[in-house]
Amino acid sequence: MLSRRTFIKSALATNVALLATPSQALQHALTSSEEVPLLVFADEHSLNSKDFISNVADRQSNIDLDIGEHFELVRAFCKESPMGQISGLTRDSDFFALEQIAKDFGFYTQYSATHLYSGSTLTHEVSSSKDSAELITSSLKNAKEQWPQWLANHMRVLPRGNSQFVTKKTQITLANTDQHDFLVSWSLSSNKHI
Amino acid sequence: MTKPLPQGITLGQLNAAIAEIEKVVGKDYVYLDEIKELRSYRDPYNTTNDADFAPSAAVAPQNVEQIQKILAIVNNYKIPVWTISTGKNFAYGGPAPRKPGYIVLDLKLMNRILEVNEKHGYAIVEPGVSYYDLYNYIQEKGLKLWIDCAAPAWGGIVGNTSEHGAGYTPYGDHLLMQCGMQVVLADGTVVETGMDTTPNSKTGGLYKYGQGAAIDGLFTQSNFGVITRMGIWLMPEPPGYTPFMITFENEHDLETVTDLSLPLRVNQVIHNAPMTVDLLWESAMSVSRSQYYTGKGPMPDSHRKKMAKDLDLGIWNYYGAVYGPGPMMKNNMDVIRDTFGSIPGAKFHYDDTRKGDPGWDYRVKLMKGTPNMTEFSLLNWIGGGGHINFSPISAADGKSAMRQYKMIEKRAHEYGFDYIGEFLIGWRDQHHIFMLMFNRMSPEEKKRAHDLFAVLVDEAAALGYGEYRTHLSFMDQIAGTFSWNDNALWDTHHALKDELDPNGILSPGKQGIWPKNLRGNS
Repeated sequence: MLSRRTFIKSALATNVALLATPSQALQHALTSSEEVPLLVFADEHSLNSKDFISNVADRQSNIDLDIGEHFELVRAFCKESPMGQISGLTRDSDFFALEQIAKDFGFYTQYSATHLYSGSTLTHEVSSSKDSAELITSSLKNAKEQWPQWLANHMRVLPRGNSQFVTKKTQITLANTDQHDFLVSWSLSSNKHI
Repeated sequence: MTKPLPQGITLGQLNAAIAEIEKVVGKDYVYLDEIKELRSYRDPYNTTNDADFAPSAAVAPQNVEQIQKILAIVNNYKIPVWTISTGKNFAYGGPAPRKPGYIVLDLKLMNRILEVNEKHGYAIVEPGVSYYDLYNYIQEKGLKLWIDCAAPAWGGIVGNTSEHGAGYTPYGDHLLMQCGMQVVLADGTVVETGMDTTPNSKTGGLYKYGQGAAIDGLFTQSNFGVITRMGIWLMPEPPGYTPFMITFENEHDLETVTDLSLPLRVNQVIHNAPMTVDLLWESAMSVSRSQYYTGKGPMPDSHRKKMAKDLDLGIWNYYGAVYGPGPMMKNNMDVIRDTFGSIPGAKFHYDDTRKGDPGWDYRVKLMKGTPNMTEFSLLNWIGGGGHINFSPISAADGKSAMRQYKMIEKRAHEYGFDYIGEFLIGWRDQHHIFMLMFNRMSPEEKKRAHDLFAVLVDEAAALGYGEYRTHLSFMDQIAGTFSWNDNALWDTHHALKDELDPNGILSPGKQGIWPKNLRGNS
């Protein structure tokens, strides 16, 4: 059995008034994906990551410095929920490690994006399927400082499938936040259960 | 998307071989999808191009018999396989093959812990067993044994040992602690080494050498066979364990620290391989580079000094441990304090003042064989961090350490990189690990890292330093530096290769050992 820190069938956040205007197709997908078991990770030390996880309507699955402490959780989830999805907004190294563990269970990266703060510039670089990369990139841009909330609200409709990735990039100027975050948002699921 | 093919093999031949392999292991254990499955057998830290190391397929056998059948098939078609255990050898190539088109022979499903003998302190494991797996097994059974793990600890025991990997307890020389192995040769013959060669043997895990030539080492850092089982000695849980850290204020302290360490090490006052860790390696556990410096090129000294002050770290940070009964540990610690206390500015740290510091916490775990992944956090030093390790050996001698350090630091800075490194003092040598960290999402930076590494190999060789391990991209270049007597050693490797693997199907090019049919093109 998974621990109390695991999200399963996580309810959508109450804030479904999307900060970026969704397409109809996106809203439909949002509704139909409610039954997908979901395991979500966030980084305990990052404000943006905490903002992200606070918008997910269940208890948190937070990573400290040793990603190895979460390997058994991922393995158990993959075995118990082969149709499930593992997502997160974490440090790059944590995503890398979890990606390696999940692949042994046939869970592969379906979406990833880097989010880099440098002075007053925030750069999102999205790697995703051809039909979703542009949509996600523009949604993140429109979300401005509230991009972690947008991610939280849309985890369930992040792409799934066996498509080639394209990369799209966008930059926005924010008030100088003195942030130094380099975070990665990502989603893993099985190609066989779409 | 064009399927990468091994040299000289057609797509038809590859597909025919794959169809036969699928009948051996089942379709579920043959991986062909280029978009997702085979991407996980690439090297994410390569400094050239993904395509240079792209496999054509991967297969995961579950036992020796399946391996024998697979080798018979690939021998027939002369298709090379590349063997991995858990495939976590990142910084040295990870799960990727040496050249495009190989079939990866992924031994992850051979993951049984065959025996753990508490009385005599050893385990027998298959290649898919990770350090975590063995540690968890020992904890579940309540055995009073410690493992010695690599950092990070998700690697395979067989894989790491056969790569000459090292750890942080007194059992840190992994190959020294290896005892017996089972190997499948290219022609499918299964060979046991050591004492397990005698029928009904009870001493396979106890005595390394057996009768006749001790050939275990032939199957390490090589491509003469597929290791399917290995014995490894385990340290009995000691009655006590005292880790310590000493911070040193000055760059030149490295020389004195190294010279003082050698007698303590060879006389077993310090029981494990002490580590002299540079400031940036230590700092990267807690902070990112951009929190202290956002400019280009290496971090200036003034910023480094501020970071050291903020984090209560030295320019060098020395970790070691003593183990055993209380009186013995006290005696050894008194000697250690007297020895290093003579260096101006040396400051001792122990658990009471250092606990909670990320660098301290993970080193303390490693020095008692508790697996963790915290060292992976280093890669957040820069955004999108990847790395390859330049790993020359030197004498455990102050002047050698300084010479190597200054040479590498100078070149790293010239090429725009920080020096991030550590020295591990072994039985007589030092392993110097320079973590060449670059932004793996920047093609320009990858190329710069690649060029730097190539320069370092040649410069180190000119000074008489060879590497103990290396990345796929540099195996040929480094093999070329072990050239005494007109390349006699590599000629010997090749003579063995030709005899044991005449069709050249086992990991061609590993450590610069090529089969005859590919030798001229390497």
